[in-house]
Amino acid sequence: MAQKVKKKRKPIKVFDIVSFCILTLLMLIVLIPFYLTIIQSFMTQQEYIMNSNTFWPTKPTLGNYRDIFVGSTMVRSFGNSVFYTVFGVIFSMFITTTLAYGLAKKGYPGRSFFQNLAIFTMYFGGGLIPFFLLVKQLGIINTRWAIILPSAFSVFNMIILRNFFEQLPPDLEEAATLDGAGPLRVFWTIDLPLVKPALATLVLFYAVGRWNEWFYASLFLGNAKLWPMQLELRQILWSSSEIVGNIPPEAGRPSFSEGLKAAAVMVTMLPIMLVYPFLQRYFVKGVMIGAIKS
Amino acid sequence: MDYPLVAEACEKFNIDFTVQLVAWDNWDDVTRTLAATDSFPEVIAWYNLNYTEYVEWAQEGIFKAIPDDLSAYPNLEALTEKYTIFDKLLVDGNLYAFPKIKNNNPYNEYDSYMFAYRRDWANAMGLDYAPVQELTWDEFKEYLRKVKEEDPGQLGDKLIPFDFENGGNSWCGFARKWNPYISSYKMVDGQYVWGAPDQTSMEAILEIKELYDEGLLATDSYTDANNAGKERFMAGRSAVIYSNLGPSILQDTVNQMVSTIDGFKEEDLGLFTVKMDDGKYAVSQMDEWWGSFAFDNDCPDEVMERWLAVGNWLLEQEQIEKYAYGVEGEDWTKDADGNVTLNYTAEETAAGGDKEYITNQRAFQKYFILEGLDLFLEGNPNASDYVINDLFKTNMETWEINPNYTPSNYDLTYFSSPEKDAFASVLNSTSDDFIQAVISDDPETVWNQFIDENVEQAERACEEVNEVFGE
Repeated sequence: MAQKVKKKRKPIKVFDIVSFCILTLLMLIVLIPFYLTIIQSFMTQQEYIMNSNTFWPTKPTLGNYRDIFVGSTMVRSFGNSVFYTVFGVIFSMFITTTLAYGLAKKGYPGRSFFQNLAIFTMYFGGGLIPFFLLVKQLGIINTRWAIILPSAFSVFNMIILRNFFEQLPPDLEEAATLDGAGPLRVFWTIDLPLVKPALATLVLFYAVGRWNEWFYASLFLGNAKLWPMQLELRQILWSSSEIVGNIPPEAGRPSFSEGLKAAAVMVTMLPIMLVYPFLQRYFVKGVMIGAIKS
Repeated sequence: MDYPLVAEACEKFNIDFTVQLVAWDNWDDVTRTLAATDSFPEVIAWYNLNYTEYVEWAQEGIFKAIPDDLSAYPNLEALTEKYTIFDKLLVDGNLYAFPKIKNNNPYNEYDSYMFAYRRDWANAMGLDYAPVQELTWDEFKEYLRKVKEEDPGQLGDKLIPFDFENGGNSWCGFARKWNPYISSYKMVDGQYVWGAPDQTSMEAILEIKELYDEGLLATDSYTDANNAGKERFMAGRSAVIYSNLGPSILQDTVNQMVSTIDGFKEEDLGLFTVKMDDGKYAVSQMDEWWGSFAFDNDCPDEVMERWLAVGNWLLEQEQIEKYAYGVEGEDWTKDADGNVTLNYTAEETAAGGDKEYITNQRAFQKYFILEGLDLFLEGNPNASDYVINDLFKTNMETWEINPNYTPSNYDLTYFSSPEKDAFASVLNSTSDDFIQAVISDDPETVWNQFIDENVEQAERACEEVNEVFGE
């Protein structure tokens, strides 16, 4: 007679309760401001001021989102951010993977020279003024290249990827070569798919960096038509009263600067948050792979 | 800027330009980088001009001097003659930046920080107050107590009898009604001394603390920023606001309240003129300007000449009307009596509306004059006679009867020396310590500690100031 094996429950310790309480508290500290920002973005000024402690707006409105998209240049800057993120990540991944792959090969001529050259830039920089002059002399100020090119390469990311390539067994490459594959084919069809978790991790690193980028844009882009959304958001945070001022009260659609800010935060945050679930499994796996060496 | 007024200027003066924007929050970083790398555009619209940097950069040759003789631009020349700030911006006898004038108050030189009150609430309490009601400071406090007691708006615990536009961050500015020099220097017997230690500072602290402790101010308002107090007033929570209410801001405030608060009419807003204990109205000289425009040292003469000509043209009556109403004949018409009829609704001029250029093209005018030019046009349907004359003008005329007037001291403000510059951070932080004193249980100790900690540095700064300005 089959005996039903009862799974023994692990006894709850005081430590578990304390951990649970602390982690719950930490979670609330993170979630409550986030939640309040969401509901603030759906509130009218009247309700916010009369009842700012509410956890649910009694008369939800999309007015703040309307004023962001109609009254400012958020749609254009959203498109710019998508452009900088997509093409910036593609460009960054191209130069990071090719250099990391080359430097992972033991017989690469001048390997340590190029490696040290890259690492040198991690410790020593010219400063803002020489950097600005360099970009100016390249003639890319006020062009999209000013955002894509100067921050295209991360030495840190390249070193991570190089370590992944170095862990690949050389026998694989040998076997492929014997089968007639050239170096490009080995790189593209054999080695690159094997470091997919690392690539996904770097894509996430680069994408988040690109999406959040505002400083270089503020420095190199005087043409507001090229501004990414993060810079536009900062502008809104500073000048929401200006946007409100551009909507005459007689128009009968009173605007609310705090609501505009909350809506702008949501609009900029959501797209990149949506990327995480799709890449997270690679991200965790990628970190694990980097941590264990056999 | 594809707007009719801008297009007309471009055609008339044969100019073409693109705007290079600098984001507001790292303005200083970017402008310093542009200056250090000789990368300024030909014409520079300089928001929040830093005087020390302005002088430094002018001396380094980063800017091109504006011609002494502006007779070819009579409207600009008239500004240089009317406002004292132009003399103060001379560096080695040359003007390198043309200040953008605030047109806040055309009636006198007083600044426009005023008390606005809910007249409908005063009426509801049986007080037949005038649009501009004169009160003494004690009567004013009694009024606030009455509001709290009777709650004429039926708001319960949401009611705020008295608000400041930036809550606690406005308190120190308000304290100038007792001590105009609380965050600057005061002349005593021919010598400048630090203003904060004067006993009138403590009087101000105790007066505001009295309001705070009695619950006449919003409890957490000492952390306010971004006009939070003003927004509370406009949303109908506060009975009285102390705020910058220049004519255009006052008009916008009234309009906003009419659209936000059910049943609110423009006559439901009034102003208080409050006499202090000396029986006078404590008023200061208004800031004449904010920001400026300048020219890069590489700017060709003809570019500068044309830009100045555009500025001069924009100040003509005809252009101000276009700025205010849009395209003549299409957007508006004027009858023989000078009455203007607008052919659009306010909704059309809002963002996304068909006529939004009427709102947007105002940014172009703001390169030269900041605001308010249109409000004083004859027959302007956008300006209310009640707001401009019955409220603003009457308030200013009432103050003129018995003012305790504090003029601006540009010489001292723009004087630079090592200790004085270092002490500026203390002067700027006065507001924080003022707030601490108001909300503490022992304001005297808190304030005296602030004074004691900084008095030696103040003396060193005063020494440098007195070497130049002392008598």
